[in-house]
Amino acid sequence: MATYEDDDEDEDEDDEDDGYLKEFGEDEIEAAYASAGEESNSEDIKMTDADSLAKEVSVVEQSFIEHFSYTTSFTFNESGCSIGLQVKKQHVLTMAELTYLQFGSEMPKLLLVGIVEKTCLKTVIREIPGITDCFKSKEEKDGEAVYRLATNGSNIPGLWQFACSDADSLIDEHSIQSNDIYAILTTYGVEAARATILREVGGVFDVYKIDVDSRHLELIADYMTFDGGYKPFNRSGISNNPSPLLKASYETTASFLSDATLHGDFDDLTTPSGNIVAGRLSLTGTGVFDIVTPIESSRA
Amino acid sequence: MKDESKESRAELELDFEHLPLVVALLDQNAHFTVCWDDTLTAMADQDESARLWKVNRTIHELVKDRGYQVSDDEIHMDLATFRSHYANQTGVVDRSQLNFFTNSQVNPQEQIFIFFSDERSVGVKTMRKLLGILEDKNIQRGIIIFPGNMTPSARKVIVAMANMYKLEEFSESDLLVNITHHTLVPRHEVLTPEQKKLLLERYRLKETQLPRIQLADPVARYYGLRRGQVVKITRPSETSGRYASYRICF
Repeated sequence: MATYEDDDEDEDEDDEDDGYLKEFGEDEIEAAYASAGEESNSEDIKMTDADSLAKEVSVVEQSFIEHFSYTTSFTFNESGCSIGLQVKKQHVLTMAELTYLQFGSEMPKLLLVGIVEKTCLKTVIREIPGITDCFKSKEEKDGEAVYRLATNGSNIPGLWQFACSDADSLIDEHSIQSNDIYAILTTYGVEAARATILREVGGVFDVYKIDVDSRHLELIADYMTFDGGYKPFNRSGISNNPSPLLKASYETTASFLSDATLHGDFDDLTTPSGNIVAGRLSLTGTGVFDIVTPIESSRA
Repeated sequence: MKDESKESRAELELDFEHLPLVVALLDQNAHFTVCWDDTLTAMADQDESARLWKVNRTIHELVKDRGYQVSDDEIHMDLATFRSHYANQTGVVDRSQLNFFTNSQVNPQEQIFIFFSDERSVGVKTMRKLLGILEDKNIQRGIIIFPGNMTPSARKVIVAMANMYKLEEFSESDLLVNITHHTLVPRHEVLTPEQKKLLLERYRLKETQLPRIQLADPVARYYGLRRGQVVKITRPSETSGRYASYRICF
C-alpha cells in the first residue's frame, strides 16, 4: 500500500516568489503539451509496428530537412541516428563527428545541448500541474512498509486523475492529506477541513512538545468551520460579529471602537465580552437564570 | 550576411515544434521511445474507460447512500467486466449505455435517473434531451454527469426547472473518487424532517444556532442536500470514542 501525503510549502520570500511565478508561467506554456503527455501512460512503450516507425521517421526527416537547410541527410534506426550536415558544400559530417565540427564564421550557432535541454523541458511525459517536487519516505507499519510521498504544491483533482488511470491505483486516494485547508474544503468538504485544521494546528504544537488538550483545538476548528466555510481565528475573523464590545476587547481596541462610533453601532450586551465590559453578569452558566426563593413572612 | 544568419535562426526556432520527436528518437540509451499517434489514442481510451469505471462505481455508491436500490454487483464490478459490458472493440466506452434509473428503498414510487452526457460541454440541447427522457419515464429526480464542463445557460435550466424536476450536475472529475470513503471524512447521515424537529426540540435550538454546511460543499452535493436539511456527523473523538455533531445546510 502506498499512501500519499500532500504537503506544500509557503513561499513567502520575495525572491523566491519571483522564481515561483516564472515557473508557473512556463508551466502554463507547457499545458498544451501536458494533455498529450499525461495520456501517454508509459515511458517504455515497445514499438509494435515497424511500418509506423518508418513513417514517423520519414515525417521527422522531411520536417528536419525542411526547417534546417544545412541538413543533407537524416537516418534513424535501432542503433543510432545520424544527421548529415552540409558545411561549405564540401564536408558532410555525421552525429559522431559533430563534436569536432567546424562551421564557417557566417554560420548561425547550432548548440545541441541548449536545444536538447529546451526540448526536454517542453516534452512533458507525465505531470500533475502545480506539483513541483516529490519526496518519498518509508514507514514501517505492522511489519509492512508504507511509503508516503510528500509534494511541494497541491493539486487534489490532479491526483485523482492520476490515481484513476488504471484499475490498481498507484496511490491510496483515500488517505491524501494536505496542509492546504482550502483545497481540502473544496474537494473533501467542511468536515475534512475541520480535521485538517486539528491536525495542522496540533502538528505545530507537537513539534515544540507543547501539550495542548485536543478539546481546545477542537473548539478552534469548530469555530473556524462553523459557517460551513473556513474563517480565520483572529480579529478579521470576528470582524463581522455584531457586538462592538466583543471585538474591541480582543485586539486593536481603538480601531473597533472608532469604527463602531462612526457607524453609530450599538451593543445589545448579549455576548459574554459585552457583559464583562459593562460589569454585568454574563448570560452564561449560572448567569443564565435567577434564583427566586419564597421568604417566610415574619407574621406567620 | 547578417540578414541571412537571422533568417536561419528563425528557422531553427520553428524547428522546436518537431524537435521533441527528433530528440526522442535520438535518445536510445534511456529506453525511451515515442508514443505514436495510434498508441496514444489507444492508451487514452484505456485511461478513459478506467476513469469511467470509477465514475460509474462512485455514482452507484452515491445513489445507494441516498437510499435507492442498487445491487452490490454494480458497485463491485471489476474493470474487465466493465470494459466487456460497455466498451466496443476499439475500447471506447459508449456513455449512453451507462444511463440508469432506480427506485427509492423507502418509497418505490420515487425514482432517480442518472444521465451520462456524451458531449464534453453540456449545453441547453443536452439538458433538453435529459428533460425529454425524464418526462417520458415520469421521473422527477435526475443527475447529469458530463466529461467536461457545463455552460452557464444549462445551469440556468436546472434552476428554472427546480419546481418540476430536481436536477443535479456532476463533472466526471468530481466522481473519480468517492470522497466519503476518505479517512478524514466522517460519517454523514441526512436527517428526516421529523428527526430534525426532534433534534431542535431536544436541544432547544433555533436553526441558526446549528453549525452549517454549505450547499456547494462536496459532501452536501454527494448527499444532494437541500437548504434547511440537517446532517448528523459521527466524528471520531480522542476523549469519547465518537460523538455526534450536526450541521444544517445553508
